Amino acid sequence: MGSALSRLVKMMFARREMRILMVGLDAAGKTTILYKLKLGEVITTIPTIGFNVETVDYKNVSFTVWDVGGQDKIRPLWRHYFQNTQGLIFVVDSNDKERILEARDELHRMLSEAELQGATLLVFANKQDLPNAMSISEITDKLGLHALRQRRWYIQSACATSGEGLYEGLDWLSSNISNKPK
Amino acid sequence: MNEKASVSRELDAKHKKIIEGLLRLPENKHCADCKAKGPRWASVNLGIFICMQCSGIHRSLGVHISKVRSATLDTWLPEQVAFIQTMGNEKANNYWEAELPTHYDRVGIENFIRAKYEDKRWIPRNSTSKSPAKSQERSNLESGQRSDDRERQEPTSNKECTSSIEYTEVQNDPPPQNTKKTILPVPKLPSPVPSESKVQPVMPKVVSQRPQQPAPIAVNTTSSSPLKVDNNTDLFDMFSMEAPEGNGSTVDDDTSWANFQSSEAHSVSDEKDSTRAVESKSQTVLGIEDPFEDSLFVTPPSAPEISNTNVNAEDKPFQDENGTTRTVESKLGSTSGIEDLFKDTPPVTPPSAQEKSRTNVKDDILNLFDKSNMVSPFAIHQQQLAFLSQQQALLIAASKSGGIPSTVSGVAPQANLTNASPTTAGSWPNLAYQLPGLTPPGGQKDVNNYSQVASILPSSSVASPCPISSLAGPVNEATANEASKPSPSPANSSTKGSDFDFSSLTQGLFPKH
Repeated sequence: MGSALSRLVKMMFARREMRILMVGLDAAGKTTILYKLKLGEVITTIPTIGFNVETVDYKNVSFTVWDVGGQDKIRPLWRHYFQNTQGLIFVVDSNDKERILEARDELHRMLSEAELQGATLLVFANKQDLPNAMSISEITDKLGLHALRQRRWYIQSACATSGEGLYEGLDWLSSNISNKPK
Repeated sequence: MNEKASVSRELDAKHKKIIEGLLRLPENKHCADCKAKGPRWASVNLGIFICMQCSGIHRSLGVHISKVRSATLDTWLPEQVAFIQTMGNEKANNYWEAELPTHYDRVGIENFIRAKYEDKRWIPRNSTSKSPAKSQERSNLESGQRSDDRERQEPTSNKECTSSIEYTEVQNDPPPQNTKKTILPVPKLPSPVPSESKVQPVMPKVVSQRPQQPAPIAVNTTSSSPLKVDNNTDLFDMFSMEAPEGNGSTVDDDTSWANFQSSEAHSVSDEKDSTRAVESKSQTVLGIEDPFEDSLFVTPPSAPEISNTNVNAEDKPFQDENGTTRTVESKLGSTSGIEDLFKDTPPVTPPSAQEKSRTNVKDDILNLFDKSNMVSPFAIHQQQLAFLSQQQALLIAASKSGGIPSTVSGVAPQANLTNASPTTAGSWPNLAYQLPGLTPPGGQKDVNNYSQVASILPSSSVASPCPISSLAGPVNEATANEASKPSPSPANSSTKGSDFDFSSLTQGLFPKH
């Protein structure tokens, strides 16, 4: 009886931890998302050269989110963050039609890495507030998400500056993330 | 297909060389928006070079207004390189800042940039009613006699204004004799400060600075757009880009400017609602945003710390960091204002403080307060320094008699150095203390980038970062930031720092005065 109770308590209050890697092309809004989640504020960012990391607590899950700079020539550095990553957040600038294919290439290149085989994929279609933002379905098509096999993925429209969609994304992540990283 | 994939390594190397060359042009040596030295970022659709801080703001505008790329960390497409070759900071500002009041105060750079590109507040008004006012403004800047000349020339220039919808610069070209005189004082006498000026001697000469300007006479005598296209194509030839493509792209550019403008009108209005909220938000945050930029770099050291210890401990250091930066900020007022002060006043305040303080401290303090009221935080800083120097004198006297251990001297100058530039390093006292050896004394802007890049490598190659490597990263970046501030203050303060070795000792004595 006592042990059952304590187990229940543990279940209710136990914190799960998740290691999240957030990547995407430069200026997609990764850092803004990170600090919107962390602080609830919109900050003026500068290009991330290197990385930012924060833990975001949400619904008994403690997300450790690594936000890595997306400039072209520092993208090869992403792979150094792959190890033990349970969830991959890929941020796309929905307004940037010109570079959506570049985003697709980067995404698929990354997903082919062995270290990320167990990771679930959340795509934030960010900057939905801007004029001419592509729709979710359009981005899904252009990113070739339907072609993904044996990968749990989800695409969430978002607006980092207003916070729309961000927690919905985390909701999905927390309920779909692989519990034991390989 | 992904266009970037088609850029070969050789082409990329060639682009890099071209961009490096462009960055060496005098017009591109300062950020197109805030005038900071040594911009390493660019807006490829506006064709300008900007600093890292401004690049962050440009990115927040959205790619329909500005597409930001790094001069060094991004692969450029051929047409982007071609366009920025034809544009550059001066030409772009001739358009975007055509109506900018000559002494416009750029405090609050985010608002300035939004007004400049999003609201297009200072683009040339081509209606005839406006342009006389403009030339009136110009003529005011010149001697009375010349203003008469201007008056007579006005009609012609007006005609051209109405005929061509493009750049002011086109309109500026025609009057052969006066061009230089008129351009010189024209749209941008630097806003608040003469010293950081838009590199005045340089401005009128951009044309001649481009290697082998093909037909300089043609530029002066004939007028209007076809000529401009000629220039461009010649330019392209010189840079051995394919001429037809270059030609096409420039024409495109011209029309796209027009399109851009018209489409902007409605897109901006569309966007207004959504951005308003954001904007107002960001304005409230404005006070703390600069420290936040710094705190972006603050966070990594705190977080890895945590990832070693445990997650829950994390909140606190981070909050603390923010807390401190916030208070620092609120004390300082707007950072950009202070930057300006640092840029501009050094000849005035710091040296005077430094030199006079030894002789007559009190007078000097009063002077500092007299000089400016908005400077107060800075003045207070100076005041502190003055006190410190006074106390140093006391201490020296004391040490002569008593002999005070001077073991701290290695640290103290460091602290002074960081204090001396409040915008960046001011919020970093801890880091500076921890790794004093990592702060380079001077600041060469090239080193910035390399140090930044270098800072990634150690931290990322270790997948789960050990505290040292991740610490090294941010500190490097902090110093890079610091170095990128053009202010001569580091130099000043370093000398000052060596003078005030005992500052840390005197801290306790401070309230007694």
